[in-house]
Amino acid sequence: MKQNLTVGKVIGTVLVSLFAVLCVLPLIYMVAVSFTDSQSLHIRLSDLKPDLSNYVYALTKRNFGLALKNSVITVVGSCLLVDVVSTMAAYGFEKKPVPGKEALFQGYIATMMIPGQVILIPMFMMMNQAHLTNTYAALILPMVGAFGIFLMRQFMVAVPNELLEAAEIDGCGELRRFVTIVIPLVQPALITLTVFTFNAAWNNFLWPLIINTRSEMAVLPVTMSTLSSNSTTNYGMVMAGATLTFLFPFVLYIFLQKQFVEGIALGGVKG
Amino acid sequence: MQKTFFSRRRRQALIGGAYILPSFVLMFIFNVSPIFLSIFYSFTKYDMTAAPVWVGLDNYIKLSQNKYLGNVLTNTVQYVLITVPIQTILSLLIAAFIAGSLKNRYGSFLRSVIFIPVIASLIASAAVWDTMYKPDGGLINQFINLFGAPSVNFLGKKPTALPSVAAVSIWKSTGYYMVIYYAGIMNVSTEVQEAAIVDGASPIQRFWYITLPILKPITYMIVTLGIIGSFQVFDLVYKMTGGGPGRATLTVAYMIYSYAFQDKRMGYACALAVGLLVVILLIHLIQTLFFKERDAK
Amino acid sequence: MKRILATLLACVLLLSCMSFAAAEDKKTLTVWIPQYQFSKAEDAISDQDFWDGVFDPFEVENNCEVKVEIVGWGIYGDTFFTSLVNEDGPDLVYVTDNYDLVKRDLLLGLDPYLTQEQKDNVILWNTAPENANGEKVIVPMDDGVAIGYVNKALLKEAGLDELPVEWDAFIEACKTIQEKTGKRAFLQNWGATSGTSALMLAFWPYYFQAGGKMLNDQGEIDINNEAGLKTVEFLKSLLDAGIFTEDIVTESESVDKFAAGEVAYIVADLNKGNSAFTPAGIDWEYVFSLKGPAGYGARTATDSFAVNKKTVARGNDELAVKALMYITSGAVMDEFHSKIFYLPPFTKDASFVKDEALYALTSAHSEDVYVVEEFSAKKSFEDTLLANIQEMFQGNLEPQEVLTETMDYYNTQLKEN
Repeated sequence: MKQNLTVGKVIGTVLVSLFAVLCVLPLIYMVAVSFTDSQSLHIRLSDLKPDLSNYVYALTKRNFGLALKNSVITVVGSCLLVDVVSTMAAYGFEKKPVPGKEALFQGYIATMMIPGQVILIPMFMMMNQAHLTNTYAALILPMVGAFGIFLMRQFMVAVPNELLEAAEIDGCGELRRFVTIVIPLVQPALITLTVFTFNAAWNNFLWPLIINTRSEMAVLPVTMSTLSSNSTTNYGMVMAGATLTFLFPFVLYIFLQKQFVEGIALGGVKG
Repeated sequence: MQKTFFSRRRRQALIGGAYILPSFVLMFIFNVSPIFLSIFYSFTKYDMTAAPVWVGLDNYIKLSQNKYLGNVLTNTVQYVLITVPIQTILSLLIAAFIAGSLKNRYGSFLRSVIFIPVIASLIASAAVWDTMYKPDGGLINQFINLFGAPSVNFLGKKPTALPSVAAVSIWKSTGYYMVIYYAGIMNVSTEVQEAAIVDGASPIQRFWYITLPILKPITYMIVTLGIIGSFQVFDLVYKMTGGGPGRATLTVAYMIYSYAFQDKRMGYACALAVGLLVVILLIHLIQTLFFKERDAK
Repeated sequence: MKRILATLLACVLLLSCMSFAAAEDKKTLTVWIPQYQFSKAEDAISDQDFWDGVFDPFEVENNCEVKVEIVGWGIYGDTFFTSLVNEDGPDLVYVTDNYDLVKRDLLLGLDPYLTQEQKDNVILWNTAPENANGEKVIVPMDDGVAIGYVNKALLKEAGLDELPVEWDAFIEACKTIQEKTGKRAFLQNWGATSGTSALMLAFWPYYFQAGGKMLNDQGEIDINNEAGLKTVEFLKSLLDAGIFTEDIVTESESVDKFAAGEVAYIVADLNKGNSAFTPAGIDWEYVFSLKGPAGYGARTATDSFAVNKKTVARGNDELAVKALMYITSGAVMDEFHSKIFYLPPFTKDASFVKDEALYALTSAHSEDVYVVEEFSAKKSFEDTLLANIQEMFQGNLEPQEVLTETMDYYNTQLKEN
């Protein structure tokens, strides 16, 4: 029995390890090819040299620097906006006697079922009429959604009412209570929400493609997809673009691994 | 006393309203009103330049005659049947194994590694996998050729095209679900587990009778997310296949995009989008009933 | 507390700045041009640098600022229409499909701004589409025929002196080439994800060679005719003869394969010979086109430059037209054609010819060049036709079904009525 267990454990470990290799292999391949200057895919090991020309080209001639800047601004703006708006809403929903709030909350939840394509076209027209095309606002404002509010409310439940009441009796003002008591208590959830928003905002493709048509306002995934042309593909260049798109979240992940993984886990288990 | 209580309550309600207001404005503008606009546009002929012209049910009648909708639906069902079971079971098994047998640094390292594809953008992932699938020198075919087997044209042949696109989706989401399952399993109280061990339950029995039922809400969520996601596949198709070969990988999202932004027929595209919404709501309904019924048993 | 407030404030400021930054009272002209510089060589001037340089004297002379934005081809078709619907679209724009733009009156009528002399200078002026007032709305540029390239070494290896161009003979020759050399005889980009780019090279030329007309008497697309059938049957016979395989639907890199010496014949744009095949050491020569039942046939497409109608409201219209005439002038285009991308001259004052042999060949065949015309929902039509031809290659449709299905779907679902 014991013998069986260890054999199973070894086999399991090997299988899971293999899967882990499969997970990163495409990304390693991506980086490897990005160092080649090749129009054909018959890449030999000898083609792999530290040739940075694809990166230099992408950054200097294809606006990747600008796109990186746009992506970072969009992501930072989105995270701030979503965090602030969702936390405020969750607090209002959970802790304040607003008439009709449950019905409104159910309405919010229902919007989570709406596929993005349904709202894409009217949103494009609205943004256009509001002269918000080719702005960061067009990318940031629609990031607020029911998920964040729902998630924050789940955590808001755990904020003890007694604490808030005691603070109020002590003469602590409304805003001060929100900022000094509520926000620190829901901080883990805020990190979760930030991770989700970061991932969504960074990887958004179709919406930025449609709404921000000027190249100076393009975000990384859009700029990346301009690299392929009709007749020839320089794989090295495309892979360099993909690597640049991947690099920023990856570095962040290395440093904030725990927050990423736990954030997603918390969101999943709670949500 | 009574009076001040009410005014306090009213004051609190007002303050609460102020907290909710920003979200309400944004949600109303960007999540709710577009739905009604979509429904409105779906009864019109609209090209973004001139004002919409009311055409009644024309778009829906046309839609009901669209012979390729069947293709798209079949594709989506196939896509769901490939991705959802594999990514759900795979992520569950990996999470359960790491939680049960690899609660050490190597285990947490593996979790971190398996999570990496989650942070890669879809459009970049599509470009990478597209390159790997190339029949002529792509990484996967180079590997296949090592064994003397001929190259497979993954994205160019009907039987393999859709599964190949689905594989990218599985690759990208397994880590995500695995992390959620892992947290769920860690939440299973150790007392229950230990009691089961005392009762002589094998690890598999424990997994089957204790862990799995507790994970049911998570599974429900993962399956729901997987199905909804499958109806909205766009980036992968846009970058890898354009819906081909033939219509093997055509999706609703891609169709909506091409009707709207290639042909400038917003009304018709909105009708398709509203149709998609109805289908998703129906599936959600069926799924809720299904899970409820199972609960009742 | 302060931190939160400051953050909030910063947020609001950030958003408001971004939305209202555009309101400046200064003559700035925005120009959209797609990427044409495909060379990564160090000494290759980038599109951006090239156009910025071109506009330097123009900016001084007209006391304005010209902002050139280079847009990648990968998304060009997806974005330039929406950008013209936008309030803040470019003033001067390079246009690929003009049907929707003309029909929706998004382009400025050019006639009132131009002298007769300026109009006469544009070779294709008379063919340009007009708005409801009968004014021309674009300056069409000849963006060159798609031309055949043959690998002479492979031809020789197969024991052929030259490539037979009549359809039947061509198929036989291809078989010989594949037998004798073990290499692919003929490759087409049937795997392109965009129907438009696939059909440009792989369908329309044969359709013209079969004598097909794109538009019927009502001005609507119709390919369900004898020429259409002959064309699709020809493609099928290439499949049946083992020249095309079902694999070709992802091998969109036919140019790369030809440059690697792995293919004997391809059809590509007229720049590829000098820019890709010669540097790769391929011994190649031009073939104008194959020869179908109705003779030779190559396709050209007219891309164009146009002015956004919304420019009038900005008071930039005269300046924009001036810039339009400036960049399409012979002097600027000769520069462009010699430094960035070669295309045949499209104004009479342009003179740069890169390749005399090519020029002689296309001049001799000037009667055999056909324009791919514009019609409603063209992109989706082409996607549908491509999908149906791919279905045929996978053995799911017969040639006649390809045509019937495509036209049925177009007439019932795609076409505007």
